[in-house]
Amino acid sequence: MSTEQSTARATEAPPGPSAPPPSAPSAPPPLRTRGLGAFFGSHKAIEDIDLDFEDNTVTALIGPSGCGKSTYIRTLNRMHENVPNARIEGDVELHGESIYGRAADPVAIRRAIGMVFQRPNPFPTKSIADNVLAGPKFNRIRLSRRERQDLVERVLRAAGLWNEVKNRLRAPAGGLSGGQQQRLCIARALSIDPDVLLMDEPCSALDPQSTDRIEELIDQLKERVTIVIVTHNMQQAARVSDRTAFITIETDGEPGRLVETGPTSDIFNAPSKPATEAYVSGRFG
Amino acid sequence: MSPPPATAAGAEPEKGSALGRSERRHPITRPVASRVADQAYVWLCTLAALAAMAGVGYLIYKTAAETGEVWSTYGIWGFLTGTEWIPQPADGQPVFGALPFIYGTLVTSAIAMALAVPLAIGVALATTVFLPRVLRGPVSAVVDLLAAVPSVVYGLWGILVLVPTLRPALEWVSEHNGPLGFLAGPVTSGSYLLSGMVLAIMVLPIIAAITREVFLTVPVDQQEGAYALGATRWEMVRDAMLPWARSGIVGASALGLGRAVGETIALALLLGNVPNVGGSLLGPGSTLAGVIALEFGEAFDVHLAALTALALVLFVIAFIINALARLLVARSSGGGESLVRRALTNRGLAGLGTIRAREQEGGDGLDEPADEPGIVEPPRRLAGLPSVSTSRRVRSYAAEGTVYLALALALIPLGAILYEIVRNGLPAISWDFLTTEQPPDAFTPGGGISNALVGTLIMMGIATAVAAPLGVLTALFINDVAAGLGPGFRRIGDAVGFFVDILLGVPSVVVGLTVYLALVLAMGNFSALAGGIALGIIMFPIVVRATDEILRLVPEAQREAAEALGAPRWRTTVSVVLPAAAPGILTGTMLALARASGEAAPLLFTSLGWQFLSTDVLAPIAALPQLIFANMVDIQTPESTELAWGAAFVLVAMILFLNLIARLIARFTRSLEVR
Ligand SMILES: Nc1ncnc2c1ncn2[C@@H]1O[C@H](COP(=O)(O)OP(=O)(O)OP(=O)(O)O)[C@@H](O)[C@H]1O
Ligand SMILES: [Mg+2]
Repeated sequence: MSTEQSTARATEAPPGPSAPPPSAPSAPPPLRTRGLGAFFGSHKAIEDIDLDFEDNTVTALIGPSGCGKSTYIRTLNRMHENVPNARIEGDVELHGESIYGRAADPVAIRRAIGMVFQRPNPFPTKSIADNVLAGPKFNRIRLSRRERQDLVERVLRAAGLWNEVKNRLRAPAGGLSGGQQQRLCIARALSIDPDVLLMDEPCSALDPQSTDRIEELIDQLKERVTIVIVTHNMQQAARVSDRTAFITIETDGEPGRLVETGPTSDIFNAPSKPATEAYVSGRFG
Repeated sequence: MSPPPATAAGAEPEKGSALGRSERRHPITRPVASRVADQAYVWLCTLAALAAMAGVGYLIYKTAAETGEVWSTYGIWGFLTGTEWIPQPADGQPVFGALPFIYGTLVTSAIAMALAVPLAIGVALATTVFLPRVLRGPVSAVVDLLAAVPSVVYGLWGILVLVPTLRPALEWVSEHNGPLGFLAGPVTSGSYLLSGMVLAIMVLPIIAAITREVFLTVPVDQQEGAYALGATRWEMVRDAMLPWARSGIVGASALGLGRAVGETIALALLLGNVPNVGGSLLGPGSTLAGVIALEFGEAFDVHLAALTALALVLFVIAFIINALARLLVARSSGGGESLVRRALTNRGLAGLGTIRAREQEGGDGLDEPADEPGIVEPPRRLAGLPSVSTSRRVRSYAAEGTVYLALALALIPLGAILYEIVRNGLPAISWDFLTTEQPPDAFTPGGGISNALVGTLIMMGIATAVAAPLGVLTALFINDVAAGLGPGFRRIGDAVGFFVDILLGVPSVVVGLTVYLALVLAMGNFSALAGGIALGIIMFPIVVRATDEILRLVPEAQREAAEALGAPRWRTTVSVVLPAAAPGILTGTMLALARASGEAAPLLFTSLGWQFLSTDVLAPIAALPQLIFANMVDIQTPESTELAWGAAFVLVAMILFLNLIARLIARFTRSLEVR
């Protein structure tokens, strides 16, 4: 795995100003959007969103239903363009490089920026182990038998699923509970060691206990990856996130816009915009 | 909890400091090999789709070019309205007019539809609403089974069983009909009325089966709504089911009509082949498809060109029927086109339920949940509540009686066919029968069908080898490749889809003649290869549509799961989409094969037939449907009919076996899913 990746980087990464030294004061954040807007055909779902996502940070995206949170998060790994006639304006930068630039390839971007969906979507007929190994397989990362076993154990442990499934790694993933399936999806996303992990309401289809486990998990994962999470649950946002961004639609028919962003405690306790105040207090009930 | 996975790059970034931001661990560009693989996948599918289209385009071109002489000599209008057809006159110029055949085609089809559509609706209603629950499954299984019986077998039954049985009745009619001129005159053994009846019996199962599928999609809440207002079963049907299913019934009828118009073998055997316009329905006539099949053997030069022109006319008629049906279906409310298309292609693809169910579970959350399909039973009426008024009750009983009558009228001939196949066919079967060649002539007893059996198997193999890969790749092009490559490609994808739909409606006799003109003439002789390709052309659009339908049902969430892991497009297809769709594709291919293997008409133009056992794909070869036809069309002797029944039994058994396997695949994979 490691040799393949380092050689790939050596040959593939374009040299030049876009790859600054890691500790330069001006080093760009892992992920950043600039003036980002997204369209479905002629319908503009979001507009002019500027956000920075920092290392070791969980950023929560909150906002009313339909404001474009899912649309936004799907522009971050170029899943948005899968929708016919969908397009974007503005830019998304991964470590300072545009992921919509000429050289950038959506397949490579998605390999670098993982995603966990609202509904758990493991490959139901593949075994639990094969679900985890699908990531390396899809990316032609060759692993020995031993490395495969290690990888499966490591990411399943990281996803807090190992003890529950270690005796049935060969069983189809469709047989797991919803919460287990979602943790398997997280393990699957971790199997290729992404730079950034996007999560679109990862707990909304789950019971409270599974939700707790995934929240714990997120807390551990941020050591390693930059996390962006969409959630409707304010308590959850308060619990897991370091920063929060509030997106909303001001009047019907308008695209969703970023209202404010800041440290989570500020957003919930001392928001600077009345709209945020209203939404946050209303939702905290 | 163990530490998270170690980096490939090794160096841990400093944490939490603005000065110590992490490094990018993965390139944003893709290795060339991976991009090339994706390109190769896109090109493979595109080439397959375009090659298939180009091949069919070439056939059409060759066919149209062949007819030039006819138009220049007789003129389009003159040819279409000419009432005389004298291909080989004793002296002078031959005369070619298409009207008698157009007339014969339309009249027989009209009789068939008039009889079949009401009965089919009755059968569909009986098997969804009126019959007791335990009987619905078995009865519709029998109807499904009959939809798979090849037309040559219906023709065989018509000529050997129905004609002799009905003859006295028809004679009585012709003597006592009084003022009904269209039923006057001598009763000939081939007649419009009998042909129309046999056609009706042939198309009834397919119309009934599709109509039933459409009824099954009537939303539960609409049925419950009707019952909640106190409706009887019949009133529920009238107010909730029929309005909803109307467009579906139109679609099903159009499909049946398309079949009836293109039907060749049964009419070649039953209509008497006399070019007539007008005249008694008890007299003989001729149809477009019939005359092409019957006169092809002795046709050369202008005569062949004129037959080809008839094929073109037939193609246009079939095309117009399909187009009209689409228009009607698209306009009418209720189910709408997608519903009908689903019903049309899902027929028999029972396994689809699986994937659809999965789709609902794991969908992307943007779709509304689909209406729960199913049929609701009326509530029991409680004693003491006001009961339904007498007149309403009488009307409901009358309607119910009519439905049962339709069911009986439909099931009697259908049952009779199965019975006769078994009664006459089974005794002929023996090991010898399967392993000896056919006898040299119609008067020699004994012999078998080994040459035809082997020929059928060889051509089925060729047809599958042609149609299955091309079909699946073309479906991938329409569904996956073209859709993902931007609006321009999507339009090409739509065009290919449209083309496939047209191909779906091309009568098999036209396919046969076309392959003869483009391939057999070029190769210089009839061959198993040409026959296999003709059958492949019949299979191809069925495989494409079945695959396309299944690919649509593969949950988007599954594709996205793979894509979000950085899977290249081809990888997503090979590792996720195709495995999920495989059972459905297999089922669809089997059903297409079952359909093609019963075709006799295209083989008359391509593989021709051969007395002896042969495995040479470049030489003429026998086939079961063609052998049955050949044994009935010239002289019928006890020996030849016995051989034909035996061959029919084997053919039907083979086709039902294929259908059974297809269903088992569907059922087995479903039980796996549900677990
Ligand atoms: N595939 C699509 N085609 C067209 N419009 C879409 C599509 N998906 C979303 N939209 C529109 O884009 C807007 C934003 O939708 P989006 O799903 O991003 O909202 P959301 O904030 O995620 O809502 P929720 O909290 O309910 O998930 C909505 O107006 C929606 O109707
Ligand atoms: Mg959303």
